[in-house]
This record gives sequence, C-alpha cells and structure tokens, in this order.
Amino acid sequence: MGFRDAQDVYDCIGAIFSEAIADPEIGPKTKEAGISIRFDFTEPDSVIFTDYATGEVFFGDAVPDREAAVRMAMTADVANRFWLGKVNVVMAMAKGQIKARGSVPEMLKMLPLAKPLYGRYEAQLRAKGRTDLLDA
Amino acid sequence: MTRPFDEIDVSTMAFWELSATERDARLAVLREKRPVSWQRPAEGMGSLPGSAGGGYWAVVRHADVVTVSRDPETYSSAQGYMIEDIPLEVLESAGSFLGMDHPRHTQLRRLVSVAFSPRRVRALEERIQARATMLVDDLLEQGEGDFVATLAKPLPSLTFGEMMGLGDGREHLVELADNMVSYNDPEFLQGRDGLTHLLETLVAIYGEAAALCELRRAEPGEDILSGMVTAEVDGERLTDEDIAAFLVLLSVAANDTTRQSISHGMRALCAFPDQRALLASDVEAHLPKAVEEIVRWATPVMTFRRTATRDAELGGMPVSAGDKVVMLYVSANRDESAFPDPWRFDITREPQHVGFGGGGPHFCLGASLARSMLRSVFRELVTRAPTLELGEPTFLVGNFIQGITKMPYRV
Repeated sequence: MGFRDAQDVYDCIGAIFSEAIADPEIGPKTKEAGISIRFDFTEPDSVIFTDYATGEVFFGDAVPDREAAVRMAMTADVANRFWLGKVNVVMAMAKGQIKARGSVPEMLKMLPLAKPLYGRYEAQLRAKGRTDLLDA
Repeated sequence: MTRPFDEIDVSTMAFWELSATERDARLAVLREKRPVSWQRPAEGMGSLPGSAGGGYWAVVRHADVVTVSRDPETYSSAQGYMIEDIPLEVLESAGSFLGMDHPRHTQLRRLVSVAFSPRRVRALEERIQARATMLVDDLLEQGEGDFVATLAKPLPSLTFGEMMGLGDGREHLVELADNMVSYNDPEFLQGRDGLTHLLETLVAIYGEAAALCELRRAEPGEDILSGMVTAEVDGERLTDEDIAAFLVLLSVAANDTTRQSISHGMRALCAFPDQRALLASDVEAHLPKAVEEIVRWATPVMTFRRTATRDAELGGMPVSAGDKVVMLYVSANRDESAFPDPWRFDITREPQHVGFGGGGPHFCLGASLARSMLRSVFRELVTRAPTLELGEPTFLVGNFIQGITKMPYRV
C-alpha cells in the first residue's frame, strides 16, 4: 500500500518537515541553512514547499508562486523510504529516482539534519496507524 | 568550550596552494612547538548548518599519527574521514569501509582483502612488470611528452582495470576517479562548487556501478566485482549501494595514489642524482628501500580525519569526546625526529614512513600492490632511461591528494 491521496502525503511527509522546523535542536540549524526547497511528488501528485528561512511549510494549493532555491522531484514512495532511512540519495540520483536542481550542495548539507528524524517519522506513522507504510 | 585557533593556520586553501617546502616550513614550527594544535574549520566545501564554531586538532608528528592510527577505539573513522565538513551521507557513498569502524569495517574489508594479499600480488607481478616494460618502451620511443599521461597514470589504471574486470569501461571510470579528487582545484572547477562537482561525479560512478553489478550478476568472472556481487555479510548480500561505494573507494585509492608516487618518485630521483646513481649501481639490492623512500617522499594522501569517541590526551593536549582529529601524513613524513634531514631523499633510510597510513586497521589495503608497481616501474626507469629529465610539474590544488597533474619529460 502507499499514500491514498495528496492529503495523505501532507499528513505523513508534510508533518515531518513541520516537526523538523519546530524542533528546538534541529529547527535553528534549518534556519541557519536558510534555503527553500520545493518537492514535487508523483504517485500521488502532491507538492510541498519548505522555506527554512521563515520556518514555513506549504502544501498543495497553498504553495507560493516564487522559485525555490532547490527543486526536487520523486515519487511519494521514495520520499517515504527516505524518511525511514532506507534511501541512499546518491544512488537514488544515479538511478534517476530523485531529480534535483538548483542549489544542490545546500540541500546536501541539510541531509545530516534529517537523520535524527528517521525514528520520529516512523513513530509518527505508527501513531497514525500507518504501519502499512513502514514496509516500503 | 571555545579554544583559540592556532596562529599557524593549516585550514586555508592558500596554505595548501603553497609549495611543499613552503608549507612544510610552517608545519615544522608546529612539529617543534605545538605538535597537536587546534585549527579552525578547513576551507573548501563550506560549513554544514549547525557546525559553526567547530574546529579540529591537527596532528603533525610521526609518533602521534601512529598513536591515532593504532587506536581506532578512541579515534573513530565512522564520523567523517576528510579534513573538510562533507555531509556524512556523501562520504558514506564515497568511502565504503574507509569510513567505518569494527565490526562492519572488518567484515567489508575482508571481502576484498584477499585480492590484495602479498600472495595474490606476487601472482600478478609478472604481468605488472610486463606492463611497466611496455609503458617504458612507449616513453622511450616518444622521446618526450607528459610523464603523467605516458607512464604514471596508465600503469595503476591498467592494473586496476584488470583486477576489477573493467575492460573497455576502465578509462571512463578512471577519469571519474580523477575528477573525484579535484574538488579543491580552482583550475579544474572553473568557478563551480566543489560539493556539486563531488556529487555529480559520485552520481556518475554510481550509475556505472549499478550497470556493472547487473552485468556481473548475469555473468560472474574472476574479478573483484564479481566476488562482491556474490558475497554475503551476516547472511545478507551486499546492495548495489555497498558495491558502488567500494568501487568509488577502490578507484580513487588504486589510481590516484600510485600515480602520484611514480611522478614524485621520478622527480626526486632527478633532483638527487647521487641517489639515482646509487639505485642504478645495484637495482635489486636498493629497490625495496628506495620504494619506501619514494612513498615517504610522495605522501600521496596528505590528510585523513578521525573523531574522538572519548576524552584522551594526545601530544600533551586534552582531546575531548566528539573532537575532530586530523592526521597530517604530509607533515609526519617530514618529521625530523623520525627522519633525520627529512628533505633529503635517501634510498638507504630505514622505512618507517606513514605514506600507507600509520598502521592499525585502516592501513593501506593496496600497499603490496603499490610496492609491486613501484618496483616494476622504477626498475625499468633506472636501468633503461638514465638520461630522462623532467620539466616543471603542474600541481593539483587541494588538502587531500598531493598530486601532479602534468609533468614534461625528455630522454
């Protein structure tokens, strides 16, 4: 099973971005990185826009018109597996599973900030009763 | 705790752009006065979010490099191994067991170590010698040209290609491995960002690796890659990612290091004609020690980093758990207390250099192979090219590989 619809993606994957920004330890570091990243997901089609400078996360229709510093494209399943700690970003890019353009090095420098959140993402999915997504 | 950064700053790119002797004049002061010094974060890739105020201990004496190398429980390799702050996610993709501690390091290294054992290398020796002879034939026939392109580069790359079973795909992979280590060099980058470049190169090698894995699974051969696709660790097959990281590590380690030793070694023999004459007077007798002196002189890998897992004292300084500790092999191999008159190239020295590392579990896996290639090539050069002269080399700029990218020769 995968995500049911765009709202499902925002409830699961969107929530972890919001949590990162709100986290007293990780939040200030994302603010220091200060970039914006737009994620274009497919299966199902959905968009998340994170602005780390302002600490805002936008979903779907609320995504602002402006250009993000980094734009990334992948299936929602790849994003789910990334947050479960199962995706090697370099290999995913080599295989075309993740496409990135813009300030890619700035995005890479944020990867270490994601690692402490893998466990929390998993816990969130469990709390939501979405254990189906854990076997991705 | 904030500590003041040392006034002798080894973190700037300007420092690494200095000539080797200018650089060492500063390192010599550190060796004498502050052998373990606190340095501001290394320039290059830029800092990671949240890492501001960090720094590292620079270890410049031979004895301290050996101590750090042989105490992997205190000095871990699993939290980064480059002097610069490179995201661990990128390093993990590039370093394989280089960036691991026991037990994972031991398990993965064991898979390939048999291919590099002295016994296996002896079996390869004849072919390595034949290849060296052939390449020196070419060099003599051409009469003049680029020493790196004609000899220093092809010998290790052909050997590597054969061991990995790369066939025609070899040149592309070797070129990518070259690109890997050029992330600091402004001439190479042409205004591009080092990390972008590193990532693009990694992505390209990963693409190659994925294709090669598929080929080997369908039709395994006798090469190292075939061994990897069928190997199991803890009852599990290696993933394409594991194998790709292996391939990145081996392609850089196999190509960029021996090549530099060949180039720097020939340069040293030209600069010290008495040593060249001594070697020529009885090649077989002097060759083993000469090879070790060449590796000391060249120090192809200038720096590697560890991270302290617990509080310790090093060179009289208090290292705290979590501190980064950088070994400057480039300094340790010129340490006056280990090598009297260190800037004299002397093929009769007792070998104790740290050109293959300072011992311990991360000691260079390919040392036997490198020695074999160096013996073969210098046996040929000393006996068959006595009039060979070199022009001014072009050096690679960076804080990792002590590289010569081009060097004219004439016979």
